[in-house]
Amino acid sequence: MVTPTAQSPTTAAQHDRRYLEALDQRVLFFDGAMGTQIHAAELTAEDYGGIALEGCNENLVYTRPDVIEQIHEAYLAAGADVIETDTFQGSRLKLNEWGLGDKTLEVNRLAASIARKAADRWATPERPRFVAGSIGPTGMLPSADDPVLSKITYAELADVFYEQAQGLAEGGVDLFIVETMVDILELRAAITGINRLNRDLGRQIPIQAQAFFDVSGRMLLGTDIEAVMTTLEALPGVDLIGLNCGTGPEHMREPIRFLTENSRARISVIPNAGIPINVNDKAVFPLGPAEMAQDLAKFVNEFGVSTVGGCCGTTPEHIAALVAAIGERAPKERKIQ
Amino acid sequence: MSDRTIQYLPRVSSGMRAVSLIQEPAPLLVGERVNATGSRKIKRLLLADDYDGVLAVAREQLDSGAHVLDISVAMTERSDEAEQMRQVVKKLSMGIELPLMIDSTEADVLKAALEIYPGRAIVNSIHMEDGRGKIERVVPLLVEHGAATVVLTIDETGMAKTADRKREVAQKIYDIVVGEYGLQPDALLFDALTFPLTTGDPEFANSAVETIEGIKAIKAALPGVLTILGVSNLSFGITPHARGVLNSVFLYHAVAAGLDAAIINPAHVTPYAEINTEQRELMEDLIFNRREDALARVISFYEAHTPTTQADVADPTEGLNTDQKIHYQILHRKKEGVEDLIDSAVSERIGKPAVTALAEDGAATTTDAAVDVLNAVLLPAMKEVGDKFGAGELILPFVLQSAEVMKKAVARMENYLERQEGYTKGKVVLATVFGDVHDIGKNLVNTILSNNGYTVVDLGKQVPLNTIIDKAVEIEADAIGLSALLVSTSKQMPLCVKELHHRGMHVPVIVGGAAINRGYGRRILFVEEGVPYDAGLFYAQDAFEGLQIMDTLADPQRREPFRQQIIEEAITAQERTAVLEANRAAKPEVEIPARSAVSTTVPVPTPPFWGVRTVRITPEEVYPLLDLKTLYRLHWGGRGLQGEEWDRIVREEFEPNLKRLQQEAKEGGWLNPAAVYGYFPANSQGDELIIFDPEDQEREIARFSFPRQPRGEFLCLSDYFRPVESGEKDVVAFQAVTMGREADDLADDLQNRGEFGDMLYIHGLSVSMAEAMAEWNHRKIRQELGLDEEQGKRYSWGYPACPDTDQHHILFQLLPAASELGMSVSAGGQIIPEQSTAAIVVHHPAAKYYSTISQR
Repeated sequence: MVTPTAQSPTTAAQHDRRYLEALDQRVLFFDGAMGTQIHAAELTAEDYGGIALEGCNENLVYTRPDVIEQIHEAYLAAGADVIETDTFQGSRLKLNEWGLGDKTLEVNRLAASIARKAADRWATPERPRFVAGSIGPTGMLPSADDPVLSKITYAELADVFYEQAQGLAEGGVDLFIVETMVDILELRAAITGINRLNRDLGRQIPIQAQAFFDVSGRMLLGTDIEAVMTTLEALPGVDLIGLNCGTGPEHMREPIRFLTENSRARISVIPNAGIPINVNDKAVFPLGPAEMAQDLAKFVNEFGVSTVGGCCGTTPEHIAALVAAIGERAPKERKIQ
Repeated sequence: MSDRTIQYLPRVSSGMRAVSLIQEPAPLLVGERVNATGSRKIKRLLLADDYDGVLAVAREQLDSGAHVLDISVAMTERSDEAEQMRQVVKKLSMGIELPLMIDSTEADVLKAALEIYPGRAIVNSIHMEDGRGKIERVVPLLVEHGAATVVLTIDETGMAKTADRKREVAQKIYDIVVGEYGLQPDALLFDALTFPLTTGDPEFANSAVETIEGIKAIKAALPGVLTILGVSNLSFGITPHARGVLNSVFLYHAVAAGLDAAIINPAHVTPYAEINTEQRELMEDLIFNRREDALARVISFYEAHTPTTQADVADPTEGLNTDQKIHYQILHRKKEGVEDLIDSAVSERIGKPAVTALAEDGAATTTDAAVDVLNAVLLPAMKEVGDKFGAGELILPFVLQSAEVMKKAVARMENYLERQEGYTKGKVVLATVFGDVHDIGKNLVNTILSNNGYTVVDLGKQVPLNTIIDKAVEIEADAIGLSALLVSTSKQMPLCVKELHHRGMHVPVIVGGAAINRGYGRRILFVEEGVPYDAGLFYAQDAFEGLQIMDTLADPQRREPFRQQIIEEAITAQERTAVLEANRAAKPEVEIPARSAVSTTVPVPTPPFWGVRTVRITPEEVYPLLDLKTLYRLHWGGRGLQGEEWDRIVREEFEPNLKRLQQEAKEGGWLNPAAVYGYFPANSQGDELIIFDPEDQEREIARFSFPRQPRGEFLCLSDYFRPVESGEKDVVAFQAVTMGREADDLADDLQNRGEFGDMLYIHGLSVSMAEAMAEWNHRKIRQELGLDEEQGKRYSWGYPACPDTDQHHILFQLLPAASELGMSVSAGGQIIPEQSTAAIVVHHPAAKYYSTISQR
């Protein structure tokens, strides 16, 4: 249970609608990869807070908030309307792996406030900028039959996501993006957790729910796009349905086409810069800014996708190219038959 | 710019796929069998915690055409309904693609199920029998999990019996769950309730009319909602056959009134069009309450028209006699119970229990009956399977599953045969020729022939000619069947024919295999210029053509004309070829240059190391590279399917099986991808490639010779490397990959156990995985050499650019494939185990695939 924020209910409700209202006006651009940019900053173990925490991107909000802020700045400068918090692995289960589980609320709150600060610096009344609280998978597979990975209940998972979402809400996010989800049951539990939080706060912070599809065109445990859509659309509080990570735009084309033709929800697409190839033991993402922008522009112009951005391997250049290719336009109007 | 037009449909989903609640044609069929109260079998399975058994029943419902499965596990004998529901839902959601309908009166059971179920479920059910209590307990769960629900038209005053009351109760519940809780109207499936028409109770005489009218009234009053009925209740208590007809006729009228979904055993639904007018009218009189004696007339009609057997009323075969049931089970791939049916079929023919007869007189009294069952029932059933396969209605794995049933039936039938009785249609010696390790095709032929009444002696793979011929002499074979996969090994076929001719034998030979075709069959019919092998040599494109040939040869009337026809065809074809050859001979020969124009100055990449390395990885790393199209079409028999049919088979058969096998492979450890590969200094010299010692780069350690194209660009593999006279060493990579022995052993084991379908699946998967592993390793080599994703090619021996598979022997001296990975090379130049492949990897940017065979 958390105490409602100081905002009056009316103001909070108005605030919670801003992202969706903006989406009705124009296609919004998400930022690109966080991890790729952190990697490019070539940080030392010291930057991460010691050898034991080297590679823990979430801990940077304590040790190098300036690096995270610069990444946000670069994306905002490239034209991103929405930036994602540095909390993809910020659930208690993930933070436990670094011994940081007890700081879950704080890490998420801090990460959200860093993003908030950057977004507010760039926001104008004509062009608001939004902060999406990034929520990734916990690594558990509740709907599989693994002796270790499936040993968690729906209620436990929902609590884990509740807690992360609470920290993000306290830090001032405009929406939650539940992303890169590989198990549809975990995704459902995340929505349940967030809905409970929203209810406890008296808020309606929007939810953007995104699945991870591999090249086979399904989620890890075999869920196809129609099943993803059916499950998510029936859940309360889910405002956008989409795909991210996993593959480049090419492999997302058919599932996204299906979503735009069959789902009543707004659709989001945040692909990787192609499928990485291994060059000298380094993953190299093959899709350049121009090519990726071209593909995603088609998703917007032909299929009617509402928001696009970049996942692994994308950079501020990718986002700038996206903004240039698509420009300011309204999403296609949804007509339900 | 145009709008985003959305074709919205209400759907439910499993963890794998979704199903629209609005089916065309209606209704959505909800399978009712997985129900502890409705099925004694399920109850028994649940009491024993046999969840695999429950899954098997669920699969039968899927096969019968169910779109959704109702699941109910409540029973008085146990007190752990929630836990058991959790177990069943978990098992089914991983094992079957159908969405589930969670059926329980207890909110905690529904909660347990919804929290373990991955997709969007339907809950069965809510109502207002205790006022708002049920709604308050269950509807919040529906909202949280996004579930749809069945709504029974029951309120505090009881079950709604008239159309008006049904609509009224529906409206009352609608107002609460839509108005207060915010459920979507199309998440509601209203059940207007059915009552038994078969009790004679006058209170219910008009109940079907009220139900049908109720459906119309609810749909008119509450736009967007759906309707559902548990149909079986209607016919409670009458004979199974009559029940099926009554339920089907009623369902037809309910659907016409707007019914969207039916909870029913889908195997019991007969299309209205297939019910004759007399029975329709009998049932419609009862349903529409048109005459007082309607029920009596139904009962007396079905007493006079009972199905011919009362034994074992297996659901979908209800109303069929024993022979028809056997036929059905073979066609529909149902193994369970087929042995009992064989017993019955024999018993019926001899007029007393077959087992008794066997005990009293041995097989003397049962043999004739058993032969009749074989000829009149089993063989025609397999023939129909073959015909359907030929017509593209069945895929190969289904054929093999039918053969599994057949094998079981035949094994049982053999108990009733006297051994000396010559019931066989013919004896065939079957072999994969010497040097060839591929036996999947031959195994299929064995399966089909032996399950169609032939005695097959399968000599296995790599069989020397003399062994084959000696066996044919020994058993006085009616035919010899030879299989070969490769061009090189198929040369054993004409050698065999010549040897038979030489020995003066008259056994017809049937040949088949990937490397040969009808034209080849015609050519090798001639043992020497103008002299055909007079017993005949027949080419069979697949196992069923092989069966057809055997059937023709076994028929004394047709054998001789058939033999003559084959020989005549071969002679005509030979004459035509002779003319073509003469024409070609008239044209001047092309002069073949010593070397093609391929560049000799492209940069030579630097390998990360010289010499060889071994790699072992998990199957999971290889799966993304699996060529699914080839796997499904070529190895799993999906070739020839198109459009929706293809999509359906992929979705319902191939993809679930692939997932299952991947899981089984993980658990059973029978896919073990590994590779040996290495980099060697190399130079070309004419058509040869010289390989040098990585340690001492001037020392030649091996030499490969490749054919040069006789036309076109005159390419030869050696051209892609620096010539020896350049003084500069080039680099060549070799690789040999395997999936290990285990898959091969497992496939053999399955064939022996009669699990033909899985044998095909596992064989196909493991062979495709070897190809995928080759690609995986090739990519690794490209990366290590710093090449582009597309640069360079990989050439496997046995393909046109390097056809000589004997070079595998040279390769195995360069790569430690034998010592590291237990691979070997057969006398015919093939790699053992079969789930392996090797290649020479060329880095040259101009490298491409080409043919070296001269046109003819």
